[in-house]
Amino acid sequence: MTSRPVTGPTVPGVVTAAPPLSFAGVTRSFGRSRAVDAVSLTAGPGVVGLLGPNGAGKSTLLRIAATVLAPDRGEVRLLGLDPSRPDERLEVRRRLGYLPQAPGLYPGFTPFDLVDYVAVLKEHTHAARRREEVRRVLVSVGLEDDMHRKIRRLSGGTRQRVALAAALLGDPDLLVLDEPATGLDPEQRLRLRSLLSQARTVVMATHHIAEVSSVCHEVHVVLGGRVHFSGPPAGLAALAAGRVWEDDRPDPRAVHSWLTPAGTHRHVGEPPAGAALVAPTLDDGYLLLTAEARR
Amino acid sequence: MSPAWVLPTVRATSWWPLAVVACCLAVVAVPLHAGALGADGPADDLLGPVAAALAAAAVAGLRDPAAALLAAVPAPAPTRRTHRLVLLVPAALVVWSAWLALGDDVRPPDLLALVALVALGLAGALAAAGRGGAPVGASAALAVGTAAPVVWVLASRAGGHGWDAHVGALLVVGATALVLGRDR
Ligand SMILES: Nc1ncnc2c1ncn2[C@@H]1O[C@H](COP(=O)(O)OP(=O)(O)OP(=O)(O)O)[C@@H](O)[C@H]1O
Ligand SMILES: [Mg+2]
Repeated sequence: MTSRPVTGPTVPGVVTAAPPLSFAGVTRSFGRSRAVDAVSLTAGPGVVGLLGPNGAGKSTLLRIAATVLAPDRGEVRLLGLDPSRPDERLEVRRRLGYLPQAPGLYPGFTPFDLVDYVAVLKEHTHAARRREEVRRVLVSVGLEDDMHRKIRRLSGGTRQRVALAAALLGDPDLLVLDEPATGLDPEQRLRLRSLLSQARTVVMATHHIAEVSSVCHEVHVVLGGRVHFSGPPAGLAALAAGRVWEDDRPDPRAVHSWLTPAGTHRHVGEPPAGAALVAPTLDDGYLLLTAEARR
Repeated sequence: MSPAWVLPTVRATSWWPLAVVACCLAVVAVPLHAGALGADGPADDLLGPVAAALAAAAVAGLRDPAAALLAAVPAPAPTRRTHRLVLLVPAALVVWSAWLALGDDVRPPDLLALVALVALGLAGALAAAGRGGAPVGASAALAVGTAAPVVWVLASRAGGHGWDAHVGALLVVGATALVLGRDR
């Protein structure tokens, strides 16, 4: 993986390496409801995943990370810069790619025209080089055959890739992706994984645990606006070590039980004596953590 | 050569509200011109509603389905909004001038009155967008902005003063909103 050291505001002569993304005590409310509650985390370089149930606050965190939303409280540093200062926010935006959860597009545009417009707004001023870059990102998401068709004629997953291509313009230092795999077929997901592993720093929200285990080197689990777990995916799985068992019938003592394709019942929770313990997966760790947080 | 943003902005802008209003005015203009609806020009009574409709249409043209996708590009939302207004306001003024030309001369104060109504609509949209991070181009905030000129003209009529009596104040409101809402 290629990674460039990211430097923050410096004392003359001294180069300080700052994490590409750092949140300290970040809080954001909408009316009375607190969507993000005193979150502190750092991310990158590499791919960092945000997991959490619907309404946990992942998109709100990502909108803050993308400079789209300002926190009520707390300190945000992106690429070593302070996005609350207009000049530094502009500099961050020049080096940032953002895929929102519901990226609307212009149905009458072609993918090429739309991404070209985004490139104009991203200050790609040289026309020929801009078009080359637009073509590059569209090809990178597999849109070589569809780039000149009207967006209104494209399928949902294809549209998602158009928005993803727009986020990839200029090979950003920080990629903020809100559920990038939504609507993608397995082949395109594979392509996405390889794109992500070539990027510098990626922060992405996802509901696909398989995505997390295959590309993320770090994962944060967000529940009710707070981070309940931070660590490598293996660490999340390890939370359930000794607390996953299987047998041939449901177990009411388990916090979660489900029937596996093999026809056995898999349980997470406090195993009864003599239970047939099995190796935990990331799903097990996640389910156990969310269930315990709810209690 | 025009700047690179012009052509895509022309294509991304919602022109249909302005086109609908222009078509309706064209339809009404025919009998008016023939003297069927009144004196020798558009009745003064119609000026306020026509200006409100044009201002509302210009503000509605800011609707931006891709607002979320563009939320974090270096060219900030106010710049992109200005790009659109640079196209929409002159277009609305052309239609307005054509309407005014049916009756009296086209006077600069009348043109400014339309700009003031657009400014009021913009102020409404920016205020409604709030701090929630919802883009102004999203439908909810824009609905408020679109309604503002119409409500103003109706309220002026109910209050017994001319819809164009406070152009200066409206321009100040619009300018203040632009400054306060520069991050929206
Ligand atoms: N603009 C807004 N106005 C009001 N409430 C909001 C707004 N955006 C988010 N919220 C609230 O903040 C909380 C967190 O929402 P958020 O979209 O961040 O969740 P999420 O983890 O991304 O969920 P999902 O997995 O469904 O995408 C929710 O309770 C939501 O209702
Ligand atoms: Mg979300």
